[in-house]
Amino acid sequence: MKAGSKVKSDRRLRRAAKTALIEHGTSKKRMRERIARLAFLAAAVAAGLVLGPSVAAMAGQNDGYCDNNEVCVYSNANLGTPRSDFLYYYDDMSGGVDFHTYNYPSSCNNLFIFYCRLNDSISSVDSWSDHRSIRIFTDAHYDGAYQKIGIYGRVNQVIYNDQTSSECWNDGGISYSTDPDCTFSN
Amino acid sequence: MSKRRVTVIATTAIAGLGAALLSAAAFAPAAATLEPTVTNIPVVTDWHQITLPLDSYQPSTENRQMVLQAEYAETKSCMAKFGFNFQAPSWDKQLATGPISHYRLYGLLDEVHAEQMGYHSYGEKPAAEAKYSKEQHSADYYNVVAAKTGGGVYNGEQIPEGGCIGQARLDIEGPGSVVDLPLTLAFNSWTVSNNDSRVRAGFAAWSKCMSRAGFSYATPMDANNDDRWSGEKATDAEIKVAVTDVNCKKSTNLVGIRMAVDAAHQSVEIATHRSKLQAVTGDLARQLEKANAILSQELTS
Repeated sequence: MKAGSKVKSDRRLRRAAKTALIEHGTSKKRMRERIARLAFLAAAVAAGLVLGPSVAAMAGQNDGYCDNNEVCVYSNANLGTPRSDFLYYYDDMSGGVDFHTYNYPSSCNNLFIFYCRLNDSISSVDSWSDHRSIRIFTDAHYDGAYQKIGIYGRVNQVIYNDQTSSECWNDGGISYSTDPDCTFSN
Repeated sequence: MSKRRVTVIATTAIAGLGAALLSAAAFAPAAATLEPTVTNIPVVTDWHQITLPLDSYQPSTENRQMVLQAEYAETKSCMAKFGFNFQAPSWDKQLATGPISHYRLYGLLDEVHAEQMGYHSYGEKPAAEAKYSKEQHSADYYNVVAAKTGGGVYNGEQIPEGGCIGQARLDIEGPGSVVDLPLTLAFNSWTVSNNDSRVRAGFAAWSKCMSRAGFSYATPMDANNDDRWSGEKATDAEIKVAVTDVNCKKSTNLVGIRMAVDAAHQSVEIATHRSKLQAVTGDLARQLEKANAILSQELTS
């Protein structure tokens, strides 16, 4: 998880905790104590020490759940776990710090360690994007051979089993002449 | 001398001998294998020059776009029956035209790209994308549009298999396996050609060129996939490697060799699957005809 995402996540956590406590009519003293404890928990999350499934279940990319406009990639065929989810392109599944499994197991959520990585181990893909087709490539940085997946597309077994290393969507913000691999017809 | 040291020396000697043999046999097919004959190695210094035999079995960008527009029109009308408003994706302003491109099929060959951002892509998140991360469709919407949660019945109506977009794709494109054949065959030949003795000799020549500049990589894929290039932007080190890589590809004509060998393997695939590929051509024509009919009807209604 990128530093910016962590900060946002922590803010959400603090806000949600505060709201919940007020709704339950907790005394101000107890509220302060509990907010302090939650703030400590949030700090621990930011430090990468703790990230349990309940936190990870919050909607958003890199939480192991497919949400609006995200693409989920799975290690096993037929959308079997472990998996990862992301909103935008991913140009380096080998070295990308976010590119690992989430909640399978949860110890992978915040750790960039070898067995959590999904590089070269993707067997199926499920796109929840309503406006972007995607391409998945054999090598990092959109290099090599690729497979196309349309909007809302689902591939239960990719052609290049266990070889995918990068993914991009057709980016209308760039001219075709400067980046032909990622600027293509919807 | 330790056992490990003996092994290393023996392996190095064998590798050296192998490289010498590969260099000598550069463009002749290996006798003991089924490598197809390559009669001509074109000089390729620009990715626009990359063309392959199976390209002609894939739809042009314009035709593909027409098919997709028709599918989105059918999806919209199906979704309306369930009470949902399907918004078709907007079309890119600067679309490719003509045949499909092979920009980095054999690795980066664009010196300007390498100088500007190494192996990294031009891709950035445009501000216009931000709204999509916040946009929420309901679970029912996803189930009706693409059967994301298994389909079934919604508002008393049976959701089509694969949802509305799945039905539209099936209706216009037919079962995917036939039309996907050229892509699958192209991937097979690309994979096989990477292990072809002539390509491996090309990799060895490229590797030697890289080592002269002080970089140690066995293949261009190793240079491209180097874990050190995983940051958000290219480092000076990455740019140096990428520029040297492009220059070495050009000086050794590695992309010309890879394309020629890949094309030879594709020709074998085409000969083996000729009747199925002819069926693909027919299917693409039927897809286009159907798409035209749907879009014409849309215009008149």
